[in-house]
Amino acid sequence: MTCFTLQSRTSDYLEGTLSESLKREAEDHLGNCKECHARHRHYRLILAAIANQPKSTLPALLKKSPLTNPLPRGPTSQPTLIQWESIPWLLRTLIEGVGIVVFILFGTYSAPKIRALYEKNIDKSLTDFHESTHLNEILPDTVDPVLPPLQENPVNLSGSQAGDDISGEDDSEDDDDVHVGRSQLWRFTLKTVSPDELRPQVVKALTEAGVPLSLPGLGGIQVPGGIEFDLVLPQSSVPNIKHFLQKMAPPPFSDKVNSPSGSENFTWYRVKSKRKLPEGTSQVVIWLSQPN
Amino acid sequence: MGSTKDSVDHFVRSYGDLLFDLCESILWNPSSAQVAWRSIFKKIRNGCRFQRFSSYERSWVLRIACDKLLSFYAQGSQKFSAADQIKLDSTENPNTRIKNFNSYFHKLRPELQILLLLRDKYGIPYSEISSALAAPESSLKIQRQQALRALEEWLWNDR
Repeated sequence: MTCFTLQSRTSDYLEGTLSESLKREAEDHLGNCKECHARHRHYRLILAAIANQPKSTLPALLKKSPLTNPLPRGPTSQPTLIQWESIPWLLRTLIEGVGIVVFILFGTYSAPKIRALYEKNIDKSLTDFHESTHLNEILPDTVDPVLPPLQENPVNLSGSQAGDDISGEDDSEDDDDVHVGRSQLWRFTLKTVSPDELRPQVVKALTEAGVPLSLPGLGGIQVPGGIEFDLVLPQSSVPNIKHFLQKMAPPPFSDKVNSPSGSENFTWYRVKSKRKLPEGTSQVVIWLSQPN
Repeated sequence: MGSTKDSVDHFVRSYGDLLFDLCESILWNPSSAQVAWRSIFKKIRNGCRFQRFSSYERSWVLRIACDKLLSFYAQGSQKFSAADQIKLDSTENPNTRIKNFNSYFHKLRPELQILLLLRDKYGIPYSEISSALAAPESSLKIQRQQALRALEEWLWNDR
């Protein structure tokens, strides 16, 4: 018998169902062939391992009612489920009902608070973002602690034009004291929801543009609808002020950024002033207005 | 109803333990084994009303059990993870490997596992296994040899 023949009759040999002559041939071959001998020894070990595997018995739950009781879903959920089901149904229902009511009450009580907290956080983060990306970018230094005082609303000055003429160049029939065309009025309007917050920034921008702190009206004037600065400044400082204010303006709400007079929240225009102004100076009116 | 219940009780008494052990050995998970066992017995309950058993009752039960087990196995019984497979393959010492015999045994195809268990653990004759697995006896003998050869290679041959 060859290795191949023995291999093909392994099953019968191991079962002991080979005929006497074949069995003798197989044993002769196993005596001569070390490889087949080792392999068959291994086969017997494997069969012994299979035969000696421990046998599981049917769980009592299945034996008691093979097809009716619900099966546990897993070893971890088994004790909990059984313990829960062992509670009388009346008590179980009561506990479940109370649990649901408590859950609903808790939800009703806590939902507005959670929402308020969430909105507060959103507001705070928006404010921080706006301050950090906008105002602080323009004027990173701290605001001058020596802020000129804000004046109260004086008579005849309510954010409108005191002594200026926005009708422009056609007005040539004024009285002789007025030197039409010699001086200019620059009017800048910044729309902001909080003029008070923007006021220190404007003051700082003005002082950086060379305006002395002692200049009357530098602190601004509180008028209905906002804060106004009415200043007489050297003409050379006006471009710098315009540049600062343009940067300071809140971002536009629409795509009017490229309009000739500036963005939606920053508008400016220039007209001839009727006021008597020294040579080389311009009247600058900065109007921090709250949007309607 | 009474007769069906009696029949089910008879089947549970006669084959309950055997089938449960078979389920647990193949599926390798007690929870899955319970589900599979119940599924087998539901099928037995539905089928026993139309059977006139004589000598092939166990073959019929085993046929149902094998079908269900193969189906459950295909649905996703516990299989080796890649890490387990690497761990098994990297074990050098044959003595350590034989200690993990069950792990190597479960690397076999489920049909071969059932064949070895039915034949060598429970001593069921080839004729009944042939009926249960729907394969001729000669084929089963060859499959058994192949299974033994595969196990022998996994356990003893140097890799």
